[in-house]
Amino acid sequence: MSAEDIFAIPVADRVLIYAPLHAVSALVNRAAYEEFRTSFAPGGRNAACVVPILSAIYGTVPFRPEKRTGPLKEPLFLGILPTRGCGMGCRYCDFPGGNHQVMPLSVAKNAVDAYLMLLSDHSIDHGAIHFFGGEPFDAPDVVQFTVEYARLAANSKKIDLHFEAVTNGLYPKSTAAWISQNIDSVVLSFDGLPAAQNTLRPYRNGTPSFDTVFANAVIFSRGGCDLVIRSCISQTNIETLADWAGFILENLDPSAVCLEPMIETPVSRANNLSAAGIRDFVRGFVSAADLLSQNAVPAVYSTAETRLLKTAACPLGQDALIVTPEGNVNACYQVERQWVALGLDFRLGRVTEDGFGIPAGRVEEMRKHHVDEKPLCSNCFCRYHCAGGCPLVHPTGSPAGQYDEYCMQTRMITAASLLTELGQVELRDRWLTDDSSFAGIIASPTDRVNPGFNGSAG
Amino acid sequence: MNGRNYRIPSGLFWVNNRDSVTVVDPARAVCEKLADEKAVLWRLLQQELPRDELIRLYAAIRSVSETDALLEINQTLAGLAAAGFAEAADG
Repeated sequence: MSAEDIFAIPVADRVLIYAPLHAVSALVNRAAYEEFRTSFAPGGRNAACVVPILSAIYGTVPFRPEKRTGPLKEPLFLGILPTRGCGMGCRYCDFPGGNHQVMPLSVAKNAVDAYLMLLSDHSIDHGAIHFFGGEPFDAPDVVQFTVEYARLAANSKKIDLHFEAVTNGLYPKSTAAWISQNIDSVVLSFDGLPAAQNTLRPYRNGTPSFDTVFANAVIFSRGGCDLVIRSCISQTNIETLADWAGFILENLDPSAVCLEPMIETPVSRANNLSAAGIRDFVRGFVSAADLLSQNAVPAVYSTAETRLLKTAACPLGQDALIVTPEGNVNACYQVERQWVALGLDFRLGRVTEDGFGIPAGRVEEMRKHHVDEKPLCSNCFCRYHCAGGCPLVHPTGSPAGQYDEYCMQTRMITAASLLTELGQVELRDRWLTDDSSFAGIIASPTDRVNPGFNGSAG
Repeated sequence: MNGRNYRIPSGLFWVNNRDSVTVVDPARAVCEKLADEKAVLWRLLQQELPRDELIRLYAAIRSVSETDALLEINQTLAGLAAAGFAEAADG
């Protein structure tokens, strides 16, 4: 019997057994865990107490997310960056200010034509176009053109398109109404109650933004789009996170609330903003998730989504084609100087009226940002949910098991989520309250039930 | 560029189904389904864009010249007016 990709995580006096590829988790006492572990040894016996767990694991066919191979065929999505400009002056954002180029409509047209041709050439009948920025609706004509042009062109090719936009919500209600009627999924950056939102995400001139963003969030809630609220959590708003979750439930109708910790930047430090402490963030996240779940709204922490299996943390490595206002095609939607500063190159090529010009080998190069290629993650029970996280903020080249604070946060939230799913809320809360749990979660270099396993998921 | 001016009568409501728009006149108990480029034009009209901007965007979406775009727009609006879903506003 093989213990490949079966993990065990000590939680207080118990052990959490987790087989993510089989979607099986179980909580056992230490003695039962020893029986479970030894059942994998040569000649090991299956004690009665662990048979149900083994049956659950081996009674299901494991689902392993495929690693992309071969020629570029079905990108995760086409990303359009209408402009890097943004009217907000977020106190933690290190996107460059000043004037920004707006994508010419000809570039958007070339991108759509090239994308639909790629799908059509491979007989793929569905696709997705995502808008990022800056703020995409600082160039509303580019978004409107792209949606209408792509929709007409896709119809003629019998391709069904899904449109998504990541937005700050800072525009007239008429724009919000158009968005709610024409964009399928809206990810709205909204950091909290008025005091938090107006402090963290004011207009660039410092004017409060809460009223405008909330009014547009209501339009999205009542409109035809799927609304995801994304809140960036720092020391400024961690204390009011539960109140914010309650406010959302009372006033809005999101399909999910994404809570992400603020990463400190030179800009945030200049504004005297501090990241929330790991313990505070984890406990705050779990409390907010409990509250939101009362209305069946999932709280999402992007590296700890236990309902999803993934081997790449972000668009990078999933063949996403992200077109900048200048017509460059990148594999990452972040600003180029961010990856250049780390010695990374996420440029794929260019798009012109002749299609995507992507030199040979570039797509394969991006696919190396895969969890199998990240030594740190080899033996981690979160590897199929976190996949190492964003390479711009989380290096993963260190040896297996040398977990850092980024890992600690992800591992705590993932384990807490699994305990919640198992109905072990009392144990979960007792474990989270104990400060030593945080050091304990990164103490073991491997989570694998069979420590002899080499960690490769190939 | 010239063209007649039209306005959308008050009292209409419309449903956007992404690929088409259904315009409803409850007073007359009639509706009209607009598909493809007609749906595009209806959605652009609802944005209350400046005339030149509307023509520029419509021309780009349809991949035609602005002159041809204006012609198409006027034809569509004339059809809508004939069906009672637009009104000539220039006499």
